[in-house]
Amino acid sequence: MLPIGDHTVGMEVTEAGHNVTRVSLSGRLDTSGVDQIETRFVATLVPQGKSAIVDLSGVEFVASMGIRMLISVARGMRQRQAKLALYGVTSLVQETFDSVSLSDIIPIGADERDALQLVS
Amino acid sequence: MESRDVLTFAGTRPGFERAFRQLRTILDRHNLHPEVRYRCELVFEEVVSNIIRHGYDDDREHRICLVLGVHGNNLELLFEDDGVPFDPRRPMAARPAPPPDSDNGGRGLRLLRSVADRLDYERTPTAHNHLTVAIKPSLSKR
Repeated sequence: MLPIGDHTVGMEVTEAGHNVTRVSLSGRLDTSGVDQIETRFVATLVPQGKSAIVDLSGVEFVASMGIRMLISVARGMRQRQAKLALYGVTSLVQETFDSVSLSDIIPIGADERDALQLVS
Repeated sequence: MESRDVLTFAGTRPGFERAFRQLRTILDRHNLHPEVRYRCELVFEEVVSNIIRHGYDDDREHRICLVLGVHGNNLELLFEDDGVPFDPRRPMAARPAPPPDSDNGGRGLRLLRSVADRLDYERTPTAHNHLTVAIKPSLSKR
């Protein structure tokens, strides 16, 4: 976890099997949080050309900067024939995603199994 | 209003981050519905980050003032800044729509509008922006 002021943003990378990377994010994807994590998030997911699922169950807040980061990574992965799916979205964050129709750009699964199917 | 808090801070990234922490401390004092609190933080993030990124066309020091009014779960935020005129109620500039996966799709403005029950804007004679945002109340129970 990377401390930022009085709150933190975290990122954990594991293998989800079937050549899929699992990234678990936590904390706040606002201007400060994105500044702290974007370089590592992009470097982890885009160059490898592997599909990935992102667990957002630990993310409590997402602003437009966080949405921009997710879309940017999804686009970079797509250019390398890799897919990205999100899951574990809390109801508060889901309202934000719905406001900008994010699921039209990045598929969102109900749970991990669902997300794995979306990238298979 | 049951309570009224005023935050005045520098229109810089450090000023923004300090003010955001102060706002969250203020919000902790109120027994707000989680949806209302989330929307309030989203409005603060989108409005202030937009001012800092796009609102200044000189190297002067700038200040931003927020007046937060809380009445139960009804929240109203009044932002005052001395940046360039910007009325978030106006339609987005007439230009080709960016592709849906663009990095710059006007999402901050869409988010602001989505959580606002009311947006009022005035450019004052002293060249300040006055933006009032009433937060949508929650329709769900806790």
